[in-house]
Amino acid sequence: MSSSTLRLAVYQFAPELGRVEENARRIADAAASSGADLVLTPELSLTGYDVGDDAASLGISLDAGGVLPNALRGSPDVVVGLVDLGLDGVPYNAAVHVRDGAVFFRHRKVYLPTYGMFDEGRFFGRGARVEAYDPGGGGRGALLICEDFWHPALTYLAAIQGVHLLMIQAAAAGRGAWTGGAEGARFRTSEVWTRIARTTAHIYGIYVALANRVGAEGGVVFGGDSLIVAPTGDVLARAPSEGEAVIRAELSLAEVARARRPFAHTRDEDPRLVHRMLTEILEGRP
Amino acid sequence: MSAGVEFPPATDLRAAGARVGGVVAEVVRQAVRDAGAAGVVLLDDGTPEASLAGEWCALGGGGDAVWRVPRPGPEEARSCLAAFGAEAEEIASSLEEAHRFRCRLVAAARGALVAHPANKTVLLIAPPVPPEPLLPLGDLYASQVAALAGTWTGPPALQRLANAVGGIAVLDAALHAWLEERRPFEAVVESLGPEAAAEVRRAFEAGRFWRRRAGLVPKLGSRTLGIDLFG
Repeated sequence: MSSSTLRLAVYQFAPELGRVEENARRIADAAASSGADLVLTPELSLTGYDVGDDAASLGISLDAGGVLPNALRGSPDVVVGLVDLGLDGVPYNAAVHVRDGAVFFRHRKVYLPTYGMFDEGRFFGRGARVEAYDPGGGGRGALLICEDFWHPALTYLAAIQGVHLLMIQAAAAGRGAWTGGAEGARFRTSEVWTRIARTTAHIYGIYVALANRVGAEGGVVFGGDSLIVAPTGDVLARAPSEGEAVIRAELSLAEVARARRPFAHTRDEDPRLVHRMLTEILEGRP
Repeated sequence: MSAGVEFPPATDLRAAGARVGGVVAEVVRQAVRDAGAAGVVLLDDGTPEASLAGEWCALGGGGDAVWRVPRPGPEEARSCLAAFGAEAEEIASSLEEAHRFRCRLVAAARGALVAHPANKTVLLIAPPVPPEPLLPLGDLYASQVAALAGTWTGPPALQRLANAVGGIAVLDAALHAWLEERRPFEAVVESLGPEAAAEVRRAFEAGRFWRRRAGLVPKLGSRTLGIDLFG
């Protein structure tokens, strides 16, 4: 890691449901061999996705001095997914940047899908903030989790805090296996994720990294296709739609500046206008 | 159904089979592992569905861990029923239950999960849903089975319905549009004609109870029995 570059890796794998120590060991091994400064892993990468009523028992009370798995000590920086058991006793679906084996930064998932095939709202509490932080490499970063990324207002909140890198953890089910996706992807749904990631990167002139998981839980197979997108919207690295993989890219602030230079979108963005309009809309006055 | 939209969507069938089979295999492999089972016993009724399900279960669990159990003949079934004091004059309706019983015995002996090869069209509108814990083709419409295997099977009433509306692809297109694309029943199913629409509605309603108890279905599409809310 230098003052203006960050070697980022995304570790796509299939966490074993309920086996926190084993998953942590796999993440640490992948991080150690990745050559990266920071390794992003999928949603709930320490616990597996479908934790259901085990959410509390698998949780770690980060605010009460709960200890992260030993395997993560001595590892390069990693962003893991875990159940953060709040002081209020509520389990939260959280993305946690771990540095030197300790919590460096945390994001609690805001939008918990509870419709169709999803029932996260039955088991998790809802996060309330989107904050930027310094993930390394001299830039600003933010974390979102899966459904959060489908709410562009959260991306906007990250963007106006000056992020250069948006990291998204996902446990996105693969759908549309009959036709498959573009470029031979296993699932049609991967196209949508790619489209959102590329559009977000391009509009805001930021790097977007998406870590989706693979493997099966219940009847669901997760769709993989993790990717790292440049601030130009170009895909820098893409994992396959099945199987474990590590993808890498070197991110630089210079590249962010270069990608933004032809435009003035970031410079001209006016959050006060948005704030004023939102206030008027929410208070029901013109 | 969107007017003029082909169902199943045109695609490279070899590639589709590989993708779909891969998903089914992965789910079956994980299910066997989660259940601590030794493999899968397939209720092999000699249908194209059973052929596909057998192939894909073998892909997931290895050929040595899939036991295909054929349907008993009438005499076997009659003996079986007699042994349990359930003699019947007309044996046809009992064959499936005798088959099911045989599968359960084999599964108990092998420590395996039983898989039923029913396709999605059957599960949706030909209740009851089979009670087996694995339904490997449960998210694959009959016309998709036909595209991959050359033909499909279902109960006589479903075959009559499919014939009446112009073929299984027409029926599946309407079901897909109604249930997965969430288009209005009136716009897609009623276009099949009032009698067919009434039959689809009746059969779907009759299946409501059974769908709540569906076995594990590998998710392929947007709305999957046992995984998505279905009503």
